Amino acid sequence: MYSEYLSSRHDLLKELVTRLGQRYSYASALGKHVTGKRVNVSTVSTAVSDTNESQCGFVVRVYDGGHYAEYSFSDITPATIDQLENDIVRELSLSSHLAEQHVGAEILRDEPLVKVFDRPMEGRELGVQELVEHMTALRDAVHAASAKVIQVAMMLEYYETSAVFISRNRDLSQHYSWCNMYGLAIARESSTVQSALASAASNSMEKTLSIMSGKTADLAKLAEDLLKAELIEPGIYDIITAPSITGLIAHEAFGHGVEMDMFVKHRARSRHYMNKPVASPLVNMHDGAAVRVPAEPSSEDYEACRNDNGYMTDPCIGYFFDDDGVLAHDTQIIKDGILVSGISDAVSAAELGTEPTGNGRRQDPSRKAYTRMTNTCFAPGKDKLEDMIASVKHGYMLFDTSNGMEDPKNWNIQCVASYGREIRDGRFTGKLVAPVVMSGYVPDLLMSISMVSDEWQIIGSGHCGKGYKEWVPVSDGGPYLKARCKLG
Amino acid sequence: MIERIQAILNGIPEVSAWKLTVSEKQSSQLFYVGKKLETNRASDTTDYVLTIYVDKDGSAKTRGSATFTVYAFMTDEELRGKIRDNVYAAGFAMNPWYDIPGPEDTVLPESASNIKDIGLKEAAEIVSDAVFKADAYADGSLSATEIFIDKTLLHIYNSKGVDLQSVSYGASIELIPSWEKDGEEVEVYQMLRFESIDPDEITRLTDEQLQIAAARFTAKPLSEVVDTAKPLKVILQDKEAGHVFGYFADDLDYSAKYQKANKFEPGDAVQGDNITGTPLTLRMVPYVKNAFNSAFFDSDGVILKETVLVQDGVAVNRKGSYRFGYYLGEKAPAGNLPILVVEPGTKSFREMAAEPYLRCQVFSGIQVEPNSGYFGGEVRLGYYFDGEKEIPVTGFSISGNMNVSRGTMVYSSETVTTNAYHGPKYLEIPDMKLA
Repeated sequence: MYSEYLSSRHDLLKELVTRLGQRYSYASALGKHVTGKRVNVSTVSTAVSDTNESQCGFVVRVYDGGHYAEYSFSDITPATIDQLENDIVRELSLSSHLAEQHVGAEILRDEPLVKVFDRPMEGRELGVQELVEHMTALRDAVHAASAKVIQVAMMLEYYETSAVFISRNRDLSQHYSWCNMYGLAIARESSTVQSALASAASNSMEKTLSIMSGKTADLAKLAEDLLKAELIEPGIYDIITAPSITGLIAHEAFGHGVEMDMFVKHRARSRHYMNKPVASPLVNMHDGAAVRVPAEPSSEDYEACRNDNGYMTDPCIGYFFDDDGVLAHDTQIIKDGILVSGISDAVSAAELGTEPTGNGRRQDPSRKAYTRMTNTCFAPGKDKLEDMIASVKHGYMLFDTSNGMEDPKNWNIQCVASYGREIRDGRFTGKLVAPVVMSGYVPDLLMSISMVSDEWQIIGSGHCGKGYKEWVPVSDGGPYLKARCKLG
Repeated sequence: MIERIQAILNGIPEVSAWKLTVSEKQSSQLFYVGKKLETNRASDTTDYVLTIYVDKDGSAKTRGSATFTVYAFMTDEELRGKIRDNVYAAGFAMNPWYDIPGPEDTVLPESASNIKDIGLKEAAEIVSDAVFKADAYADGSLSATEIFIDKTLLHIYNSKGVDLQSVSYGASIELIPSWEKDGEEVEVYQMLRFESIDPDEITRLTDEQLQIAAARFTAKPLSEVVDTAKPLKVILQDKEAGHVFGYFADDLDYSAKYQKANKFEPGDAVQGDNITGTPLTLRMVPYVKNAFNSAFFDSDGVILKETVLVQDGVAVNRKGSYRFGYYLGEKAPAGNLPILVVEPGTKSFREMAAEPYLRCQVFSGIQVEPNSGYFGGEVRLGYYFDGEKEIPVTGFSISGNMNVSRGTMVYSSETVTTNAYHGPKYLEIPDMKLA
């Protein structure tokens, strides 16, 4: 349900924007209220708290003819609006020295739109008692599956986001929800300790629990198997990326480089590659809160990833407008190997003279908006996974994102897979390596993609930083890819 | 607001104990594209986070808890309703009973930051001028700079009488220095953090980052300089050295022991029985000058005191949260201490350079995996020393395992202070794998 609190502040925000609009040539306000719970059930502890996404606050943005200024605050009331207006004007004023340095940005577009959007959580809402019972059963199932598992932790988090955006010509409000879950198993044999992770996410608590329920046996077995994992012999190998690693490549290796605030700052090498080949012709890539993944119309994946409104059935980042008040897009970034578009927030688009793509996001209203990814994925191809595995003479299939870091100017890859399974002569040998660091030059990796599976999965339970801060929820994924890469 | 919350809590008998954390944050921020100001920001926000504890008496006494945010806009009725909802939720999150910390007689030092006297907006402008004073190269410049000047008033109360307050100031500067020539360009990333503002030091460190960008520009792929198939002596430095020592501190956390995920017990030789490198002496402390993460109390309200975890290679103590310390029977749990301090070694960097090495200066992010012992990552700028000179190198990753390297690492006599670490500036590790 849309936040009653934001409803109660709507007219005051409108009044504030009107007042600021008399002083500045552009003024807008964003209010955000996120509620929800986080439940942790582990072998040794149970805990309940508000979701980590919890936030409630406001930010106004004004334009003075050369640059943008913002003021973040916790509340607005009839008694405080006058003081708030004075604080905003005082705190955002610049010394003449600083005012001379402005970047000369263009004013934001403010096309008229008044609209209310809603995407409530599907299925039954479970209370804390039921969640703890379900998660305790899942925890116990992992323990029961392996005597070597010494610790299990289950975390489920659900949240509902309400947001309002008001400018001179726009009055938008939205409400949407999401549910994430992680399962962690730690196995021990003698002094060797290893951990394995499983994730589940959807717009339904029941569905999320059900997905995790289907993964508990594999989670326990993986943690146990990883006890025998070895360090990989560094070298260049044929690889097959599972959808999690495909998503890691889409997001970290390439996606950050097409965030167009990086173009403004001359930080992205990709700005020199617009409308040029950056990947194998087999590669198509998308991003957007309204992403639609193209595939053969007959493909089951094609149907599975859409709902009646044309959105993905379970878009992790399912907002209808971004934190700049721009409607969600589906942006095709790579088409048949050619870089055809970047993604952008409103201010970057104004500076570049391009269309904003609905990718302006803030960690919370006390933070600046940047160009941020949403649901980022490669599109499926036509190859069968078994044919891809059979084609590998000696290489590894890589699974489960451990971590990754962008390098948009230099396009160096820093992606770490939690583990890999060795393939020799087209068959798995049973040998595991962990962890696996992928490195090299991004276009070399993307150009080396020689097979793209028709199986496809998007994983909606991650978070992404800009540099080393500004964390926002994201999802990524795609098909299995066959490529060649340096592993260590 | 605080009195209102306390009064409502006192009227709900099911609440056995509580903790209230209030954070009042003010910030002045400048965001630059090149040398041009794109956005200036200010913020003034207050957050209230409440933890309530609910006890149940059964065959064994248990305690459940719930942590949640409350807002100043809530009416008394709404506050009472939210607390009652969380009392209900806490009833399903029962754990073995544990205590919460009580008050201690102590006087906490006041912030020594000069930002207090300068003011946030004015400090932001001083920092801006200091940063751009270094941006004076023909081929190098700052692509983007973000400046954050923050004041945080943190107040922790609990039902046992803890009433702690700190006012902290900080300057954070995100720098993206780049180097460009003949159509080729590279960049590096650095976040500098200071409690106080010293314009000359900010200019010096900004210049240092521009020099690092220049070095990355000239760097060759490591594989062109050395045979990467052979293991090599690697030197880690600065905060990455601190990350590696974190492996020992994490293992000696109360929670690792309680979860039976720890490898070391007090009395154990954490570096193995055959130490060929430097014996480790590691302490956790609340405060080191210029260590940005310093704090005199932790989030539970424990007054923090220096705790020696490892002495001459032998584990002697653990540290960690009050709750898990309580579970382990600690009379005075050490708390979550923020700064890791390691005694330096006796070998100087010059002495380390007696033979070829690979010094890693800029990582995209080093990973130290507590369970498997794996450590490594992608290096964006390193220096290969061939016996005569350092050659800038890039495009490689290193990997190793603490189970192998823990007793062979050699610590430098030179020291460094980073946000959360004070100790040897250089850490020499033999026979690391390269890729």
